Parts: sequence; C-alpha cells; structure tokens
Amino acid sequence: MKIVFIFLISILSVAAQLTLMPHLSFLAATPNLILASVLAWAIWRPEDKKEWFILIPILLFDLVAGQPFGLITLSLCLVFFCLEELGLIIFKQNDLPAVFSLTFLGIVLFELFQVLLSRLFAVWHLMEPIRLTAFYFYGSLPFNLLLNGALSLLFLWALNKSKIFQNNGPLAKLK
Amino acid sequence: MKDIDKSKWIKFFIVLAVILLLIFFNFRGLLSAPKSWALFAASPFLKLFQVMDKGVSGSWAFFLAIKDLNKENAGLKSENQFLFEEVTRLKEVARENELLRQQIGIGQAEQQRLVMAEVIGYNPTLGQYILIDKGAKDGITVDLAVVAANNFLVGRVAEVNANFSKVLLISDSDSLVNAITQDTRISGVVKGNHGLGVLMEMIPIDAQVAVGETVLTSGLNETIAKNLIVGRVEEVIKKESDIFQSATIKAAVEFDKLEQVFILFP
Repeated sequence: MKIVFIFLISILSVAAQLTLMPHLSFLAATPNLILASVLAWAIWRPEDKKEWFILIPILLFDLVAGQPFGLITLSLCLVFFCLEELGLIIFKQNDLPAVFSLTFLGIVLFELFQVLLSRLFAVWHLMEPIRLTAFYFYGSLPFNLLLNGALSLLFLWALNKSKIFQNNGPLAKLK
Repeated sequence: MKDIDKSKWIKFFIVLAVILLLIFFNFRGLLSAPKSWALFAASPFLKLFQVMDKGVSGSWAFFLAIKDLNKENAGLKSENQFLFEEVTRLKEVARENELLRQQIGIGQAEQQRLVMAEVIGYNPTLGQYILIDKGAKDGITVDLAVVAANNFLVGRVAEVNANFSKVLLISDSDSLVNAITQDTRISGVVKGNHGLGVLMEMIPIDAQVAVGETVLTSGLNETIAKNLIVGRVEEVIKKESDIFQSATIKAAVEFDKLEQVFILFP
C-alpha cells in the first residue's frame, strides 16, 4: 500500500512537471519538482528513511521525459548520494545554514553532473554535449538556484511538518 | 559506523549498476514497453492538469489582455484588410500557376502526408521538448518535421517510442534548421537561444535583412520540407567586426500553448 501511495505522488509530480511547471519558467529556468523532491529527501533526516523511495519519481520522470534516458536518473542519484554523505561528514548539525548550504550544493552538483554526464553520453552519440555559455552562468543558473532552492526548502518544510513519512506518521499504518 | 557506511556504499553501487543496466537496455531499445507503461500511468493526470492549466491560464490571459483589447482589435482589423488583399492576389497567382503547370506539362504539386498528434507534455528543462501521443505504431520516425496549423515549424522528432514521441523544438540550442528570408532570399541557420527565443545566424554581414520579414525553411535539411514558416525577423544584430550577422526571430508558434501538431512525412 505504501508503494502505491509513493507511486501516485510520483505520477502526480511527473504530470505536474510536464504540464504546469513550464508555465512558471523564468529566463530559461524552470522549477523542477523532481530535483526539489530529491534534494528535500536527501537533506531530511528522520530516524528511519527509505532512501529507495526517491528512485520511483526519478525513474518515472526519466522514462517519460528523459532525453536520453539515464542522464537525469544518474545525475539525481549522484546528487542524492553526495548530499547524504555531505550531510554525514560536513553538515552534521542539521541547522538552517547547513540546510541552505546542502540545497545550494545539491543544485550546483546536479548541473555539474548533467554537464559531465552529457559529455560521456555524447561519446556514445546518445546526445549532444551541453555547451555552457555566459548566459548560463548569469541568467539560467542563478534563477535555477533561486527557484529550485525555494521549492526544495518548501518540500523539506512540508516533510518536517506533515510527518507523513515518519515512523509514527499516517503512512506507517499502511502495510 | 563503518558497517553503516559500507552498507551505504554497497547500496549505492547496486543502484548505479541497475541504472547502467537500464541505460544499456534503453540503448538496445528494450525500454520501449516500460516507457509506454509509465506514460499510460501518467496520461490521466497529464490530461487533468492540461485541462486545469487551460482553464486557469485562459482566464488569466483574458484579464491581462482586457485592457489592450481596443488596441489589439484595431491592429487586427488593419491586418485583416491587408491579408484579404493578399489572399485575393495569391488566389490569382495560384490560378495562374495552375494554368502554367498545365501548359508546361508539370503535374500538380504533391500533397504531403500528415499525421495529427496531441501534445501531452512540455519539458523545458535540459533541452526544449514536447511529448506527443503518436509513436512508432503510427509510422513516426526520428527527424521528421513537426508543424503546427498553417505550416508553422515546431521542431523535429528526436525520439520515438511505441505510442509516444519526443519533439525537439526549434527554440532548443541544439536545433539547427536551414532557413531563408522570404523577400530578400538571404540564407542562414535558425537555432534556439537557450529556450528564450529563436535566432537566425550565419547571415552574411553585407546582407540587408528587413525587420518584419518572414523566415522560411530552405529545404536544405533532409527531412524538413521547404517553405515551412519559422517566424518573423524581430531585430537584426550586426557588429562591424564580425563576418556574419544574426537576427532574432519571433517564432510563429507559441511553444507552451501548443495543443495539436502535425508530423510531416517527406
């Protein structure tokens, strides 16, 4: 039952990402619900967290909209792993500066992994490598940081407040 | 602590291996069925959100436009008169063309085969793509040109799955389309500007491109037919030191408002 709930939320996120979010684009930066969920899930630290839950929205989104398949999944999984490790090693305190730093790093790492992996995919002729231009640094990246950072902080706040995924939360009653 | 870290690393490498395996499967075309299932599962919500979006953005656009309606109406009236004159003239030209074809013995121009598709999603992150509900089952293949109504160029098919396809929009930086200006017949290459619009580049520096001129496809791309409408020249960017000039193009299509498109078969 839990998996059905996660699957439903994932499908809703993917559908919203492909229909509603493009209308909120600003200067080539679009709010990314999937990235925001990954960041929030990686930064959030409850007692018992099922890490693999996050794979469901990532894979669904990549299957439907990934071009080519694999780039988004690999980038997001690497970001998730890096943030979890950074949270354990450097940002142990789990206070506001740590959360902000992890969010910022997560978005920058996602962009970096995409650029690096696109070069790798280009070797196999699966896509054209992402070419970084000056506009990317002064236009796209800052707005990406702003939009997706705000969205992931909102998700993190919702995770903390709702207690839906916590051990004593409503989802725990589902088998 | 060390055991926890070790188990985490093991989990990470397992996930990595599974993803790499999936990428390999996709490379061999074995992920077509899961992709179709994923889309099948998402399609009711995609449709629901599209209806919601149409309702909200429709009323919002109406409220935004209401103050400019008089001005827009006057503009449309004058454009309507101009187009009426143009259509009348072109009808005469078409009739004359038909007569000439008969006299020279050239057959009628070939009718192009079209397949209509619904736009089911729009993904502007990491490239500018739309998802359409027609795929390999409908005979769609990679690189076919996609147009909106009135032969307005939208892009080309980038990936085909069993029952849906991905279309790379002309506003994507990776999209390159050979184009020509309608009146001055100046050639160039139309490419996307990071999703912010469309540019026509590689225009010789001494060419005189007029603002407002229509830009058409030149037919030099193998699968993109000639004379599809790309848009209108909005601004000419010319620097004395460069050997080429460029022009910003106002695309004929509003990509985020597309509902139906047509796939053109050569």
